[in-house]
Amino acid sequence: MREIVVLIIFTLVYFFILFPIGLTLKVFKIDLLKIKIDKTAFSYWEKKTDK
Amino acid sequence: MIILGISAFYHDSAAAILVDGDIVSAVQEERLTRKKHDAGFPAKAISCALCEAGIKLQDVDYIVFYDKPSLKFERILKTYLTNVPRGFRSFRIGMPPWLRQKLFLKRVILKELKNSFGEVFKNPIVFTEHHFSHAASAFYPSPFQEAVVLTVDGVGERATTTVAIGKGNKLDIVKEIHFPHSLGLLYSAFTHYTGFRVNSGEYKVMGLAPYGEPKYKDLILEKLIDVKEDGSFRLDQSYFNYMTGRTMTNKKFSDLFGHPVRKPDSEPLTQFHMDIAASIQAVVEEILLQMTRDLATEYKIPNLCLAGGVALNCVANGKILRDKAFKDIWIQPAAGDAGGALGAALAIWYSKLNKPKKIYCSDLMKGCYLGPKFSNDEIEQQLSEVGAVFETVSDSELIKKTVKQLIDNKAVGWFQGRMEFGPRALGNRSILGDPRSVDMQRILNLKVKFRESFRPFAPSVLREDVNTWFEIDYDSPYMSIVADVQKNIRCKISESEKSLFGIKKLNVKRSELPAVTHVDYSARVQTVHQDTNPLYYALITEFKRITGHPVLVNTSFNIRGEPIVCTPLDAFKCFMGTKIEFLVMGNCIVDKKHQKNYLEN
Repeated sequence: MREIVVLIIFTLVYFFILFPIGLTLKVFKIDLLKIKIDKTAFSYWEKKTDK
Repeated sequence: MIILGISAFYHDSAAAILVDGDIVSAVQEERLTRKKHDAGFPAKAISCALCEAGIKLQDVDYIVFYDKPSLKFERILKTYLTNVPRGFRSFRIGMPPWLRQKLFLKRVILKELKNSFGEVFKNPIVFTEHHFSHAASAFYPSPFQEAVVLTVDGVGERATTTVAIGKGNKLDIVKEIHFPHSLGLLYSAFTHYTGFRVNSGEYKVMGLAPYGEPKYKDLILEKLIDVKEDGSFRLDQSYFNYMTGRTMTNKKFSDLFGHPVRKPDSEPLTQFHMDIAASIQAVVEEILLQMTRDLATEYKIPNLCLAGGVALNCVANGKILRDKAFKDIWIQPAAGDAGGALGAALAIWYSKLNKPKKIYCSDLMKGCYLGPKFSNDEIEQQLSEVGAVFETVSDSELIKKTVKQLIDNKAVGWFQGRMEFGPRALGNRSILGDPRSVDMQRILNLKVKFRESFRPFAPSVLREDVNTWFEIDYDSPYMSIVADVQKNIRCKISESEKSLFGIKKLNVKRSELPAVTHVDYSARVQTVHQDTNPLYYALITEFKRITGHPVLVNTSFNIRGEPIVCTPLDAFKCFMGTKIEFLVMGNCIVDKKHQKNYLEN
């Protein structure tokens, strides 16, 4: 019973929260993880800022 | 000041104790629970490490965990957001444990400690970043006052590759490459593709590589990964599945190479898989060399420290050393997550508490002999309890009798002193053999390890003699560097021998040390030093006196699928369950032919 409740909650969270946010990010082409390969970039190193 | 470092909940849980900055003990949980790569809370390892240090839990001033769960959780959420609508299944399965346990790690640690030790821990519990733990484990025990520190692994919180600069007791990460772009995960993807288990089969891919040609290297560099001149890189995610799926690679990946993922149980290894292994090994080596060359030019510091799972790739480490972009390199022997426990503790001592870094001529790892030890009385008691027949002899007799057995081509179990920390047996929990024997490779694999191995066993060689036998004149006490055997001890190979396929190639005598020479003449060298392991040093010296060869075959004291032995009882069980003929534990000698047959069961 508890597992079913957990499943329902996580399904709702995924489709009503994550899904719309993720879709919005896609529409506005926001690349949170910097996934794209950038042939023009000089380097892929990222400076560590939050020391 | 006592600091307890912990790594747990991903793979290779471990605990390490620092007393006033001195590395007193470090143990992996798997050795005590007998569950390989045990990822559970390291209650037994903590207990054992405390016992070795002679202290109680309440004496500990700080407990430090080796990564920061909140940062990792943030990365996981971002991954789900980036990949919608894919990843629902992974979200549904992966999220509940996070919300139940992983996000509230301090509470979990307190609860586990209460369960195991029956007391509430009152002092601070702190967290360090995963890659900072790795970097600390590589820099602080190193013999360097100043170094560039490169950590490369699958993924920590977000970083997969970091560069830090260590100077005195200061260690600062200066640049990073972030998930999903990861050399560790790229190597694991090929481990999966060639049909081996991710997170433990990577060394098999490395061992398989010398049988193949790097035919697919250009294809990998063209399609799967974009590498800049400075060695920084990104992976083309359209070929991988690890962000949201339960496998590492996808159909597009298989289509690129024209073969499906190898099924480990039903599909044999072919030349294709060997060429794939050679190709990914060559790619990783090339990227690491590009990276280290650029770092040497950029920071103009002559020393390099390495850690992270990729630093266990001893073939690549050997190439970095020989490349000489850095004058000196030092590699944390427990480069994987177990070493994170030690690094986290060191990070608190030096970085948070601002204690000075002392410099010695050698490193601070004490030969990596940081685990539990057993006195002769304890060994005798454990042997007597199981009805073993044994004799107790003096040190000099022990060495003479052991060398005699080795020369007679016997496999010898060698159990001495404190257990090693990290993945390698370094002469305290080892099975030894005669490296001159053409059969030793086969004998050890089939009679003792119950497996076929692509890699030959590692040679333990006296430090003073290493350059006479191998093309390296450098300390490699932790077996983390591969070098070729010297040309003058290599044998000529006939045309028919050259045409052999796969593991059969390994049985061809390629040098005066056939049991430790790979098909490309390489060997994973362990230099043995008198100051860190005098007994093992004395044993090899005696073997050299009689045979002229200062080298022994050294393989870990375990059988396939089991962790390396920890206690005398573990060692005796392994001895009786295999065809090891002779077991030496402390000053006790156990000869197989004197044991009662029923004990074999």
